[in-house]
Amino acid sequence: MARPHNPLPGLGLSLGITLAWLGLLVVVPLAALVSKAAQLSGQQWLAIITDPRVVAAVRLSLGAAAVAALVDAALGLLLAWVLVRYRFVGRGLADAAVDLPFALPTAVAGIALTALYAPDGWLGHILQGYLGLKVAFAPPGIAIALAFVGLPFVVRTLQPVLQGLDRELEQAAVCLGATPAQVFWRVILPQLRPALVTGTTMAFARAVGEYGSVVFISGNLPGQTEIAPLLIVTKLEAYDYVGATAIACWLLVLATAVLLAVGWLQARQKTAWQAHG
Amino acid sequence: MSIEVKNIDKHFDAFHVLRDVSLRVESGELVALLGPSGSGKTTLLRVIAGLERQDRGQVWHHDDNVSGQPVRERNVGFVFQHFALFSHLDVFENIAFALRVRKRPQAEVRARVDELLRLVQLHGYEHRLPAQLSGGQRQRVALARALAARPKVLLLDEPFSALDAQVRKDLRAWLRRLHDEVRTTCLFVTHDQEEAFELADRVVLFRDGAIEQVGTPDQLYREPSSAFVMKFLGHVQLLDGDVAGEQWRSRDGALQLPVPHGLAAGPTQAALRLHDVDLLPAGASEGWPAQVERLHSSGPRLTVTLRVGPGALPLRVELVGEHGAAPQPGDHVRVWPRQVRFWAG
Repeated sequence: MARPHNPLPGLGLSLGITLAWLGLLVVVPLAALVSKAAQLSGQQWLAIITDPRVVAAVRLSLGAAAVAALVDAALGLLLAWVLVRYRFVGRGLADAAVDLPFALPTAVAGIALTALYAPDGWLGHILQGYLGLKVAFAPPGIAIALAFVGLPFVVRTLQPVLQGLDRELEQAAVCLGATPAQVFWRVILPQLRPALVTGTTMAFARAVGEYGSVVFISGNLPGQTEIAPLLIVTKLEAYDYVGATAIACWLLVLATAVLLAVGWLQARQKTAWQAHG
Repeated sequence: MSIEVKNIDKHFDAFHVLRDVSLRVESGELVALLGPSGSGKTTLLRVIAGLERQDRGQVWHHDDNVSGQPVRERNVGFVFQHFALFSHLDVFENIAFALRVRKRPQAEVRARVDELLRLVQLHGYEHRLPAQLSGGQRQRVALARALAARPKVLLLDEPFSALDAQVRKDLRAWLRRLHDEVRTTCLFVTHDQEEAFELADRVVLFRDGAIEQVGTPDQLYREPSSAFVMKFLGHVQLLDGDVAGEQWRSRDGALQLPVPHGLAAGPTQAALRLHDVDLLPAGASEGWPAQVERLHSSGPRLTVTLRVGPGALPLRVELVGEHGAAPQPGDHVRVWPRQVRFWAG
């Protein structure tokens, strides 16, 4: 059997190492999770995940993560655009600061955000006092914390694509009579869309599982401001391992479904373009 | 629509890329901006389009001073060197772009794009993506796209440089026919003198950000205004020397030529067109003694490299057409220039 010649040697070895690591780090823990949850019968499992407290927590987690991901998409696009297209004093510093949510222990971020948005905090004081908007210890606070941790995903996936954009395409569009808004919607955004979707999806995935930065700001009222990861931890602390893994599995299923759906949509769009020809 | 630029100056930081450039292009003309790279020709094209803002001077489209007008309002068709097609849009939508942004009704868009597809001979390709086209096809899409909104002027930046030799030749002839058909005023940038001469009604030759000479290809060839023009048009050899009295003498003193009356004494270059030099037998009574060094044939043209005179000055001669009794390397011959131009310098 002739194998297509590959200029890089060692496919077998490198593939083996890759699969071994993938197995040890990803597949085995997930398999353990599933096997633990498998101790439950289908009915028991259903009972756990349809428990109102669990339903509320999962809904809050997914909802807040979705809102946070959309906020990240808009803000991240703006931030990446400014960092790539403009030269200004402090640009390097701003660029480095984008990674802070990656580097900072999430608990630190959570405490800082709580201090800021709490009713007696700088911003919380203004928002609640003058606008009547409760941020900390309410869903908006959760979304803010999740948007904070997800922002770098969008910025860092968009930056290289923005840098590689051919400026002549924009000039061509302007010559053809396009307004700045038309240039953005018809020429720039279509080129950024795949990277934007990828970055937003990663921000969403990260937000669904985020724990550290949220527990301080959310208030953790069961059924109201309690997120799914916290519920899992609560169950673990109560030695309810099976219950915890059941929720974890459910979260895993939902998150995977969302990721698959996004991937499918993107693939469909791509083939739709190709099928055009 | 005529195009006129008046006293254009442009700097890129410390680099003075356009120096007091003035030029008028008549309605319906096809004009080539020719020159070595970095001579400012592309910058002038971009100034006319509005993609660059001049430091000083004016741009007129017919009777309108558009010097301060944004690109979008100038309605120029611009074809970029690498075509700049929208890769996410198919051929139809690329061509339709200018009409879409003007929110024209669908029926009108369809009719106009169909018309243009026929014009650029790409009927049946409207649903291809740019990535699925050859270089020549992309070029034609870029052209159709630029023509869609019936621009006042069509500007092409090195339109053929990204294509391979045969496609380039075909497209050149095709573009000339297209221009004769649509009669849009047209300026194109090139560094290829053959391309400029074949296509253009008039050629504008640039040197270091200024216009060196403007004229029909024939004028440039017959009446070059400087040694630079002659040299840029090619097939010319410049010999350094001095004029004293009625004689030009090469630097090493070995070669002499009679000069016209009234030529000022001093350092002077003699410019010889390679095909204006006669190759004579070694026993001839006139001409400079020379030895053949190398032969190089390119189709109908045979280039002979010689060493002339005691100083073994290198000289090339081109023989065109039949050259049955071609000399061989090592042969001794004599050469004599039929026509020489002298340039003080």
